[in-house]
Amino acid sequence: MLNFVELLLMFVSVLLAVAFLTVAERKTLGYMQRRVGPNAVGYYGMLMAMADAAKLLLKEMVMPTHADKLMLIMSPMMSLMSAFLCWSFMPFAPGTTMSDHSYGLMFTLAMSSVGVFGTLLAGWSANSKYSLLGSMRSTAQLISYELMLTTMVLLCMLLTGTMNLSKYVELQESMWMGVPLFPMSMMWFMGCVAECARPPFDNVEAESELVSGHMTEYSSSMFVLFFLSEYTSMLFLSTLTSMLFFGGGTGMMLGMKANMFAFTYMWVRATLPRVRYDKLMHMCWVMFLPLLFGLAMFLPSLMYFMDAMVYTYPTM
Amino acid sequence: MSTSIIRTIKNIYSSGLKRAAWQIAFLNDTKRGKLVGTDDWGNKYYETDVPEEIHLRTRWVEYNANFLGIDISNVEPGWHYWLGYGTNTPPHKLPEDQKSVRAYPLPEKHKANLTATRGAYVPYNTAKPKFESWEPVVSERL
Amino acid sequence: MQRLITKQVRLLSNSTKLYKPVATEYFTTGGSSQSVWPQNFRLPQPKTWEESNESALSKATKFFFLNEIARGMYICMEMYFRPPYTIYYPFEKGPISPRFRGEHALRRYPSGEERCIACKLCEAICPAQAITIEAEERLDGSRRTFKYDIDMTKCIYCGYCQESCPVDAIVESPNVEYTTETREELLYNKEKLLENGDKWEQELQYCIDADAPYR
Repeated sequence: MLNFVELLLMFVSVLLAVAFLTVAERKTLGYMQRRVGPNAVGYYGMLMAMADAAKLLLKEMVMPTHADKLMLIMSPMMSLMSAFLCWSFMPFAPGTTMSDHSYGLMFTLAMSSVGVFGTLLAGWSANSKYSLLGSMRSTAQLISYELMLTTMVLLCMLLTGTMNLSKYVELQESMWMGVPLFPMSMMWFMGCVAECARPPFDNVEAESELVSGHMTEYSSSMFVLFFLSEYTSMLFLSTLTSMLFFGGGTGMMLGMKANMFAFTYMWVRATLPRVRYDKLMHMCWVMFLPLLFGLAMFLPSLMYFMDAMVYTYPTM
Repeated sequence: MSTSIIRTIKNIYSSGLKRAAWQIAFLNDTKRGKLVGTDDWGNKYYETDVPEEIHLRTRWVEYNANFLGIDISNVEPGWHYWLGYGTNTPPHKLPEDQKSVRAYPLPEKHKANLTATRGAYVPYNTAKPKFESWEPVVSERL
Repeated sequence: MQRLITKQVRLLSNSTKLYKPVATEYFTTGGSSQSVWPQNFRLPQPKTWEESNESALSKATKFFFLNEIARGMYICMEMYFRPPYTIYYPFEKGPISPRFRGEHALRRYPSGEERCIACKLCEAICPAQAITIEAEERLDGSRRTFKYDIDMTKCIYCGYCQESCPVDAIVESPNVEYTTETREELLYNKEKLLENGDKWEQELQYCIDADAPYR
């Protein structure tokens, strides 16, 4: 069990990474659109996150009259809590995990499923039909894409035979899992983008359609928590992608690979328009899932055929 | 982005680290160019003809005020026109017949926009009121 | 100045040419070289499933390798590395024209005498009735105003007052940076306008010198 100070250090570094990710996104989107992003606040706009935080915290917290106050305040906290708890299993270096656990990967998935509750209750508690509509659509999208993510993680677990995320780095030293599973890694990335409700799959906060979706009635501190939870899960899923499929290394190497994927999230946001909602659902249930189930039948049979069934060995 | 990293390095090389750091803190960007002139507040006006600066970024002003005193109304009126690409002749290089003639001397520093400070303009009526009211005096009862 | 192409007659509709002429061969809008459509501007009509001879393998490859998305992403990446168009405002300014109509100013003659002779043409022509003038004989016998107010919140900045003034007293300087925190500060009176005029005289001189041949 690690010392409290080391735990705090890891947690604070994740928080800082998320804060600077918001500025990075705005600047990257700006340069892709031939303009500069925020450039005045600190040197080249790097302290914009602090300015955003200060502004949002000092705003008036507007409570709709008939809203359920307890759920209103708890739902962004649930979102943020689950997003940060997922980070607890990420190995930044061999032995440097906030909690090393044999069932780490499963707990991570469970935590992202709990995060859906935040979105669901946010729309319900605000007592407004637009928030409710937004949150219904968002919940449906999130749980559908979680099926996809879980299936793909299952296949990775099949190949590696362990649910302990710390072991994935050593197990990929000979070859990255993204090499045989390259099409699956592309599908995984698309599923991640949908899971974070990022453009092009951002019907939940479709800015021109539903005002702000399930976050319409939120202001100041509660909005900060939603905002941070979105970027935390974005950064987390980038790190997980690089860890699972692209041989996530230690420290700086893992960071650089995670950065590349976070950049791709923003790159995709700048490129693509929004996907229509029924096409989004169609994509998950009709295009991705049958392929994945087919793969889930193909891979084990291939492994059996090649006598490569690792998981029957006790590796925990 | 690669244009701007190379450009930033060239700018730092030609302005020196201290001045480049000052420029990043105030102008949010490094720039290199030659000094064209100074105005009554001490703001310095620069112009550049390097090929990598895009159109409308070739002339700029470096204010003489501290960070909180930077305001576009600090620039002197003639220089304001030059800064906005209205003319290619800065005010101190005008031929004599195009310089404005004033019978009354101007204040040392022109007035900047003083709104929200104590020197803000307060409108007042420059005319006499159109009617005068009378003072009622109670006369003695007889 | 651009050379006028007089030998080519622009009759594209009944032209016997089989190909579309290159852009420089015919009159473009306003004679500029920038508002010209490149060749092959119109994409060919997409072929239906029965007439296209694209193989299933080719279609499947495009489907699985996300061809169009990859192309779009490549374009964004190109743009990422190009210089942005942003101007850094209080330090660099956008272009100003000498005819730009901004804040008003009352001018003086070089001798120091104020130009305005209270003819009230500007008050009459103002479409928003923003100008209020009252005049009286000055102590030395000349005709001058004692009240000249422009309500900048009513003014529509059309420039009619500037055009109608016979002595070029009221003008619009190219200044737009006179924002205020309260509405009251925008109700200019004569003092303020005269003061403006003194401050902005050099720039007004620039504008009038540039624009006088056309007025």
